[in-house]
Amino acid sequence: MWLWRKLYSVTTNFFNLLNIPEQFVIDLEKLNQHYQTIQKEIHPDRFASTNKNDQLQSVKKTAELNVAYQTLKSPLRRAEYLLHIHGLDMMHEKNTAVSQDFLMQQMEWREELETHKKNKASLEALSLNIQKEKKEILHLLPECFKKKNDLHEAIEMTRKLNFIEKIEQHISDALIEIE
Amino acid sequence: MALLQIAEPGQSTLPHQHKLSVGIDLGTTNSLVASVQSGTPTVLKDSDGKTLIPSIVFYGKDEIKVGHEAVSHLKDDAKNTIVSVKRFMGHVLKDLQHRDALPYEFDESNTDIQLKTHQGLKHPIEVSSDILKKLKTLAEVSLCGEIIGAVITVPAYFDDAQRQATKDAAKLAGLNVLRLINEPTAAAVAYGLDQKKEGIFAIYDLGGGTFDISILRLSKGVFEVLATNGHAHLGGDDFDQVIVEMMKSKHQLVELTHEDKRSLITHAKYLKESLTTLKLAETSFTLHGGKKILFALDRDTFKEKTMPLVQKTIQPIRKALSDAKLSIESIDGVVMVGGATRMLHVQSEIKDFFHQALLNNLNPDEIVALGAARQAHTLAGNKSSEDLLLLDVTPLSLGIETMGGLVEKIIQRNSAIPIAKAQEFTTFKDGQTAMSIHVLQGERERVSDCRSLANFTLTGIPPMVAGSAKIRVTFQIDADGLLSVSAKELSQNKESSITVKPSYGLSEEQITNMLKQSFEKAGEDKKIRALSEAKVEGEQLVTAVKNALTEDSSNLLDQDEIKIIQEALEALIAALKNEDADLIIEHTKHLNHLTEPFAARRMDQSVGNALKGKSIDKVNL
Repeated sequence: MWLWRKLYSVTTNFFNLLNIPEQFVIDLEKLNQHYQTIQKEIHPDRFASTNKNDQLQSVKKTAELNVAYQTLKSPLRRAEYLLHIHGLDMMHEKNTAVSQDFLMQQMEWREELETHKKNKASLEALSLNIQKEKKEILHLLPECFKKKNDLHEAIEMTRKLNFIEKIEQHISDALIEIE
Repeated sequence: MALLQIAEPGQSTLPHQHKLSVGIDLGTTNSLVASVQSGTPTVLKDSDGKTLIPSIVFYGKDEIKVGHEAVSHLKDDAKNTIVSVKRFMGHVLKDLQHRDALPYEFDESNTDIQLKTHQGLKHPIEVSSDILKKLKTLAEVSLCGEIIGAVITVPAYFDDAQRQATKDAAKLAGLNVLRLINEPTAAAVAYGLDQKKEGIFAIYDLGGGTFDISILRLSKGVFEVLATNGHAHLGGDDFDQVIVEMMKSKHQLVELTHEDKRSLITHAKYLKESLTTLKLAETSFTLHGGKKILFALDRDTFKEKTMPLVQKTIQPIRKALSDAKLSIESIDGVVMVGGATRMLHVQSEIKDFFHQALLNNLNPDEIVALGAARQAHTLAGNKSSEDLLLLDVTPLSLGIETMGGLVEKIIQRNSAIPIAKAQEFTTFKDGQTAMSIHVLQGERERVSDCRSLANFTLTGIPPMVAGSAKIRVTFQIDADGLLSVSAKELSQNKESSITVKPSYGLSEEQITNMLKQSFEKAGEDKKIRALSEAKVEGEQLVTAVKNALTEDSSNLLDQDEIKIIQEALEALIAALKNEDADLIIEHTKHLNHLTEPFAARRMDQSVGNALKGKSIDKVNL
């Protein structure tokens, strides 16, 4: 068995569904308001004592809405989705076109995490360092997405962000283990 | 002139105008049933005025007793008196810990848990269903009417197997399950609405056998679960077990009868509960062989010996906070739920952890049932003064086995439900015609560390060159938190679709058989029941389709579609005039099938309308 690719919705554009402009920079509060307003109309709880057809459609639509909201809420997933819309599926490509510098950086961080897995102060310092880098990437990403004809930088930044979120999770797990 | 009856919005004028519904807290130690009466959720009392029904079932030679009536048999027939059955739900025999300490006999020839009783082998689902039957009867007597539906609560950290087992138990008890909801979420509803609170709340729920922590945002009637975590086997029972071990080692007790084991647990529980008011508690009793046991326990020793258990609840709290991306400081209140939160050292530890006073002004035993009753009332179709919306999450990640015994996660834990995710698979050998898919639940990377939910094989893939078949597999978690998997072969324009329900616990066939037996016992006629169920469903559909046609036929359907739907509608209406269940079911199915695209278009339209026109001020709040 081979995992071929992950699928987003086949028919629905998540930005359209939530009535949010299709761009990287979005109004999160508006996103949440729209999400909740739609939920109030279509959530399965609204159809608990109606017929099976409506219940089925409600579950389907709410499931899609939840995926859409989850995707657009997170900057990383939103970036990946925007690239997907532009035909750039990068989720399972193994050849990471990340710069040499960032590769070195990755290895450094990984090593640091391994060596200091039990040291709270070091882990927190590492976390701060990574957060700084993340902030920088999130600052640059909107510009990268503006160049619609050349999304190479956007891809690279998204890959970096992907790595950063993963290592952040590992650090957070390690910190919980220590406590 | 007739007088108009005026009622508060959300309240019916007379109790019998309600569609009767209940919220059920099916607990490890005790169970409760509550219902909304005149707009207020109330815990229902049995004929002796008691609200807490012990989750105990006695299987005697000629009778089954549940609740208070079963308690006395703990002493004289422990083997046939089942306690804490919730801990067995959704598990197989080899999962059970401390089996020696349990006063039961299991059928070792079975991989499922089957308890040997005077009434034959009993599956945990059947035992739970007997508790639910008792609660159903209690409610029907108390409310003087038939219950049309129930919301049943489950621990937030229950996995798919445990949820499915609970739903099966309800089905077996003849309850129409409106929804399974998570215990901490139900508690948040009761608390939030009762106290009119808004903000971010942590619900710490330590029951008899399970521990949950949920972080919720409460705002304008929306209860949004941000993260949940917990321990499916940690609760008051484990604290009792610590005391039992202390008694055993002090008195060097080795060989114990079933009744002795039960006595030790009962007295341990008594000591634990006494220590919330006393600094020193003691108990004395006599064992089967005549040995006298005198045991005293002071608060400090109890605290010291059970602190590791309290500590076990801290890591899940940290994980939930981390998943919700929140710090301890951002929690506006901590609500304590479950009888075990009465233990003083639990309270002091949690208070210290969150650096704030705890909210325990609502009865920790009742709060879950009260919240469930509110939700049941709304789901049953009664108007409610509060416009509630519960947005819950799935507690555990869901994935599939990939190369090398690793798990590829498909749905992450703490994703809002319902949710559906699709993945496409392909073949890796030329001419491959089958493919097996192993579905797992859990957070670990290795297959062997996760819970196996289902293992199924897709067959009939047309033989092709490796990598050219396309199989789309969709994983869906519904509003009850239950999983279903469906697969479609897409490559040759031939869409074959199968739906797989996880395979454990009772099969559909077993449940049908058990239901049949219980009908026979109750002298109920299965045919009459089937006919009445078919009629209700058919009539519901007729009303829904008529309304939909009036509202939306002109803008969502063309003339041909309207004609086809109307013909099927009239055929169903005609069928409903007969007493033929099969005919009604057939026509209901047909109309359901024909109106599916119409229902989908209407749902899309609702999405569009939600953000337009009438809702503008809501959006701009």
